[in-house]
Amino acid sequence: MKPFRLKLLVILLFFFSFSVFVFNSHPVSGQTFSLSLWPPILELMIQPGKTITQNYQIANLSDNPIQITCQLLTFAPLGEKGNVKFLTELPQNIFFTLDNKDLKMGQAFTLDAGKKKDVVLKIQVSEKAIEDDYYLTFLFASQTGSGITTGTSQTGVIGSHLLLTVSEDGQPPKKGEIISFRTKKVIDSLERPTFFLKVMNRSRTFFKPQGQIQVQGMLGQKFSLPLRPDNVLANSQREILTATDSASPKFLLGPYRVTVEFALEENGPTLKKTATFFAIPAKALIAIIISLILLGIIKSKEKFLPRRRNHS
Amino acid sequence: MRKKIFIILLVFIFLNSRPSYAENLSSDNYKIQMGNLNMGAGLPTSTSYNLGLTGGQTAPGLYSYNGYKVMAGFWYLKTIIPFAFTLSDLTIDFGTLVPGTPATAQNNLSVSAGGAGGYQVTAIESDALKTIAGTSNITDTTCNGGGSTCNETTAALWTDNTKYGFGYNLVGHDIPATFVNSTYFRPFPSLAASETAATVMESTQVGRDRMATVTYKVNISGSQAAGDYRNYIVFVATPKY
Repeated sequence: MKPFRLKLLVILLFFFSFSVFVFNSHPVSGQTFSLSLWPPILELMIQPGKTITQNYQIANLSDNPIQITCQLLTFAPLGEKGNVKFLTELPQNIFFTLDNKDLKMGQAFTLDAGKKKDVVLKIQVSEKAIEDDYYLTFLFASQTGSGITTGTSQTGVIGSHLLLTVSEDGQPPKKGEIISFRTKKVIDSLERPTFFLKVMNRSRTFFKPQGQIQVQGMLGQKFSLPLRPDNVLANSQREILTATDSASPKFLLGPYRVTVEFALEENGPTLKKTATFFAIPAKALIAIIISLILLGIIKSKEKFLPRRRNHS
Repeated sequence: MRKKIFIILLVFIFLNSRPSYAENLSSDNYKIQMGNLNMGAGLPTSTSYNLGLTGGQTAPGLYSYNGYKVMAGFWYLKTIIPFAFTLSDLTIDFGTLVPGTPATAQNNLSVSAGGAGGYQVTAIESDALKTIAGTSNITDTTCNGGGSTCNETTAALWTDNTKYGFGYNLVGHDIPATFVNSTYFRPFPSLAASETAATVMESTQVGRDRMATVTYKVNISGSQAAGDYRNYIVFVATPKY
């Protein structure tokens, strides 16, 4: 089959499956969609030839029953802040089915108001599956609204990400790079320093940066900010945030050296980069200057007023 | 003397007031819990082995024996907020449209993303509003046009009642900055046109009951063919990975 025909076929299949996913349930009118889902993310490393099941708990938080359909779609990272875009291709030699007796993938089921249901996802990895990362989202969609004359019906969908690594030895190589690490060169002494860190994953499996940003002043001041261990997916970039900035002291003064250092896995290789900034008490200085000016004005007025009284 | 002290204090308080910051991942709703596993929906099971859950870094020998390792939930956060998404109404009915008189309707989106490092809500329409026969449609808005032309990613002013189409405005938490106020609109991307879904809410932080109001607006010309016009919109809420 020619490549463009294959691509067309894949696109048509995607739209068909998406339409079936959305339309496969009965329309309703005047309803609310409110679902909660657990876990919001599942990270699974598995050997080829193995099978595993995982419970997903879906709860109907609305006041009306909701007809739900579940489906898996693959995704790729979108941007550098953990967003996703859904893709057409499904992984080869990995099979996803539901292990519930009363439920099949793509088949609608009704969840009454205030009720919960365990949906059991069965993941079968064939011996032929390629050792790689596979990123999917397990989606739960409501029925579309109806009963409108002119308007728009809506479908609510909630999803949970599945980061699947197929690995024989459980230790896929991880390689990363700090693309950018910077801070404002000059800050006010009362300002909290902010840091921008972007990390590139140059391997075929995702990792979580495990480390911190250490800030050290020339006068011996020292504090550290732990990095948030968000996932950097294979062959993608991600902006890494600090888990908290409350460790910053309330007053900074002078030059500071900032070092970010993190490992890609426990006992794994570390990445390190440094930056500098200078803290000046600009606001405090302005306050002192304004106060001195005001004092000067008050003093001069006090000198002037008695003279006027004497004259009168 | 009192007057002097008061002025000096006032100046210091005004200039030295420390700016307030939105705390980056620290609130009553969670705590950083490095290395602990957060399982909420039962242990995984294997058809090959019956060893239950392994979390974090597993010794190579144990991995070979189990054949898998699993981490469910955001392992560094112990949260009391589940990941939840609410759409207040699944039907947006404009009723009978009057040419040159825009019709509007609203619903609310609400997200609680306590167990995740933030969230994203996207939206996409099936197609333009169309008659059931598909012979006539109401095109997506381009807003006022000229310098105020909107598209799927950029909102613009839409106050001119001689400009026709279908679009939406967002007001509330975590919405794109392009929605300057309630008069800014943009069209939905279309599944039929193979467009990418638009992000309508997004945050890198945990949050409870983050809410946005969507205002849908349609305006038709006098030459618009009579009939009922419909489409559907899919809102997808996912945590950040």
